Amino acid sequence: MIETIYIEQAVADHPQTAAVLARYPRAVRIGCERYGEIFNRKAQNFRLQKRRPALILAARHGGRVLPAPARYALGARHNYYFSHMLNCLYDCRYCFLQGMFRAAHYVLFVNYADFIDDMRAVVAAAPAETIHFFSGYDCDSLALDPVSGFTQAFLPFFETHKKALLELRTKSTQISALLKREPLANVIIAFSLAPSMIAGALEHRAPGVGQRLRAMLELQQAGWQIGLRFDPLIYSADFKRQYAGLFERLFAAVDPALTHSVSLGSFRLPRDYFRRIERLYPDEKLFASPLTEADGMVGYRADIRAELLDFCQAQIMRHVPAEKFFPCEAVS
Amino acid sequence: MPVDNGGGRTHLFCALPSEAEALIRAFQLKEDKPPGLFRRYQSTCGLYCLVISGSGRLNAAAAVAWHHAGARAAPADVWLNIGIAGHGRHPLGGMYLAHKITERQSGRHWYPQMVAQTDLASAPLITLDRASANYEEALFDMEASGFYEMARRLGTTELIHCLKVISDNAEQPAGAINAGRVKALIAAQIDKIKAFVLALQALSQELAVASAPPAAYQGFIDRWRFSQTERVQLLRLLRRWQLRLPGENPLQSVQGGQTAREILHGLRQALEQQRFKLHD
Repeated sequence: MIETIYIEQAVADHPQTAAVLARYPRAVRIGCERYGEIFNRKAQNFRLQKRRPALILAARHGGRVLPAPARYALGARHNYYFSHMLNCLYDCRYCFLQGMFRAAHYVLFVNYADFIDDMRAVVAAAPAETIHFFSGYDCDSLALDPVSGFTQAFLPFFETHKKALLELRTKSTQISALLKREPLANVIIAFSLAPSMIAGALEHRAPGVGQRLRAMLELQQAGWQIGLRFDPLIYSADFKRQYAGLFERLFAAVDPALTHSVSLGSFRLPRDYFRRIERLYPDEKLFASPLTEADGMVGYRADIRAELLDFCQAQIMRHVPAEKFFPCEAVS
Repeated sequence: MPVDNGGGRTHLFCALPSEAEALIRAFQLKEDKPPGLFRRYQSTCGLYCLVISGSGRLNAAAAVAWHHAGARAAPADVWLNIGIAGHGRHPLGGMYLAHKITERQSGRHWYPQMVAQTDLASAPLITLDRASANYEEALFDMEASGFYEMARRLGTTELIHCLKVISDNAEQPAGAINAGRVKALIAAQIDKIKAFVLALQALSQELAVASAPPAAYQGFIDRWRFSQTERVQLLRLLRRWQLRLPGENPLQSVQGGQTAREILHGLRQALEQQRFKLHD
């Protein structure tokens, strides 16, 4: 429940702002000049803010559509990501956002038309190329969709730009807006998944794996393509049993024809983010895992990482053709 | 002076003795003797302090800085400015939490973070340099911006707030205010103030517990000589130990170690030999 909403002056009269405010008639509304006055200020504490995050409605002025990080790809040469929102409704302990931001408030950039204009420019610059756009890097793509109207605003662009592909990365079951419209072949609803025991321990406030699976099946039944994302893979002494069980359950249920892609990567974070998150949650067992530091990143020890990736890849490949498999890390 | 602490203390600031009186009683505070630059009161348990800053934002900022310098405050402490304020239309006696502080003189704004669980209503607050009878749709005071700007440099934003009781409005302007009236206005809100302090202390406690070193830490520090970097490594290893091997004494795993380096190596090895299970 959102009890406080900050509204940037520039978007005070924006129709999207009005639509969001209508959803929270009882929230305290506070005007501000720029969202940076509230968000991510020095001496803020992510852990405390996560107890009662506010919503900030703002405009994104630059850097709306950015080249995707290396290996964040599904086979296309041109990959971009965009974030109509910063921060997530869920509270996954492995998430890099906890280390990237000092604030847990949700920033919703309501100038969707500017994002779409930027995407149009990217597509126009390489009209013959397939271009992939990824959403869900700095937020969950669908968790706030009933309030933000995100899919309703963005999907028409992909309806008319068939060479562009959109990945909506999510753990959410907020799929009603998608179910109300005709499926688009160039839009992938990519679900992040982990075995129930691991999800239960680390993915606080997120829908359970069973709920996510039901949402995936509903989407497939409606004709949408889904993606399966096992990133981050989490190590525990019994990981083989945990992940084998998850893969069996998933691949027995989903329709392979409407499964666009599968990707995986092990738990890893930039060192500075890791240190910050570890300080926020020193009582979190995940950070007592057999981790090591190399090249500015913290991740599992090489032997564990290889075991984790090799096992999961082998399991996945029993169900998925190689052309649909996209590891986010090199697998030996 | 209060004891050194890991957090959880509450530092109260009022401009006037009349604003402080009910708080001094409610939190059972005693005045520091001899007095310092500002009048300061503290509870015998060391959990509560109150400083009377005098009127104006500069005094408020100076009082916070002065108190912090001597109080050995922790990042997880609570900082609260409590006093009277005017408002365009809110009825006298109502209490509000400031959710936006504007300093009229400079035009700067601050946004206290509304994280604590509370039923208190909130309002924007404007800090003026002189009292004004031109009421607006906001709280008016003379200290909050000075208090807030300084406190946020020293503490954690979510634990710093300004609470204001309405003493005057457009229909009943400030002329009728006297010390007795101010005392009564604050006294009438004591239960709500205490409840809000408790809500902030719950947040403070969460931070304090998270930053507390594991129980075994001091034993290592007392026994071996660790450099500052080694202390950080020790802390990290002992936290991991606590999570992975609760109930087992880490000191036993490093028997035979002579130097800090050997001790850290011993702990690391002992941890690496354990199978890691994320969940029970």
